Amino acid sequence: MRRTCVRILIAVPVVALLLSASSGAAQGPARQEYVARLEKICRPGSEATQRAVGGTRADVRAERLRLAATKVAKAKTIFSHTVAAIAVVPRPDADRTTLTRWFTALGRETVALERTADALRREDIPSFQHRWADFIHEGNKANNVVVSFGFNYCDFKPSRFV
Amino acid sequence: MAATLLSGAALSVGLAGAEQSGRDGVEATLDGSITPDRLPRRHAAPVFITLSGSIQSSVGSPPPRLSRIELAFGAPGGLSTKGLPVCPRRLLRNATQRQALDRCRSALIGHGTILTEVPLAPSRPLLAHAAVLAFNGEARGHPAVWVHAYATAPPVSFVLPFYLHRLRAGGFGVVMRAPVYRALGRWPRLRFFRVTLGRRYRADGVLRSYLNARCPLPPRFHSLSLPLARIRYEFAPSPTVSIPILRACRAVD
Repeated sequence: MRRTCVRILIAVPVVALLLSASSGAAQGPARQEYVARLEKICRPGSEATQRAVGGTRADVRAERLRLAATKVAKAKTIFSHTVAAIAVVPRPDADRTTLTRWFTALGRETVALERTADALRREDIPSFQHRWADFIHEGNKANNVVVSFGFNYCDFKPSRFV
Repeated sequence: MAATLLSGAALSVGLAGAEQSGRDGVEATLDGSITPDRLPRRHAAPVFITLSGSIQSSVGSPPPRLSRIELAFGAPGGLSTKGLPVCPRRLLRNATQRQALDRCRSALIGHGTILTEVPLAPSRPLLAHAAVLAFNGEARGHPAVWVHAYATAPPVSFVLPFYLHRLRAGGFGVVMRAPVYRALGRWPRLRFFRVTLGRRYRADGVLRSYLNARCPLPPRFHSLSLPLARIRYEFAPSPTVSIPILRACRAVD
């Protein structure tokens, strides 16, 4: 009887601990905590992107398209690494659907950026004009999905590119 | 009620298709366009610019107080006020729209609408949908824009002063700043605005334009998305939300 009581006394806190841990895992972090974690990851990427694409606008105006392509390709590499790094961060349960939409939009943005770099590399101006517009459009769409999150560094800012 | 529905519709229209940004429970938007949308590559041509923006709270409460608004647009050298009549700001104070036009029609440079919210009872804020006229002004020798807003129900008449600065460097040519809190006081909170700026006028026998722009693309390019405008909403005590927008620039030879 005494042994059973001891077992129950040990089991109850253990089960409670497991339950609380599992419910914590199911709920994920709070939105504020999630945003803070992502911003910490996005900040170096965003700053590196700005450095990488410095002078791209002047390069395009002077039709140094291959040079611009190298810069945009570098930005694409930084961007896709950042997206991969933030994709593994546990998401708040309540925002799971929104964040799935956001990551889908970020995927489309990555593709658009890659196509932009590719068009510049091929010096295909009509294609570049088209792809650049796509990239801006996809970026704005991605932003609008998570506007209530209040991201700064994880937001798409076209001014970083032009 | 009809006015409220109209205002709500204007707000939702304003949000659709616009660039959005959010920070600390505030969501803001900016949309814009330039007319005509095809511009010469080398020399500036007369243009009209339409900008619209909105502010709302993402947490249900009224948005915080807007202390300052800053709008940047155009290219260096794109603003011309030479020979354009100036409207003294005092003539617009407490004026109806008709009175404002009677007194300053020659200085008219724009028009639009504005939606303000008076959160006297936060659960049922009073919405005022006002017609807006923009007049060429002058403050300490620098160009200014007096934005006169007038509504009949509820009765609202105020002048929002925008002080203009010509920029020599950077992506934009003109920046307009308005000390919203100092001009509007504690209660009216800006929710939505749409304004079209531009004016063709004759001075010294020459046809001029208040706003001018070109599409500076290299010869083989015909269209490219370039920065059109940027808005900065500064709320008190925080946050500051900045939204740049890019729009397609189409070049004609």
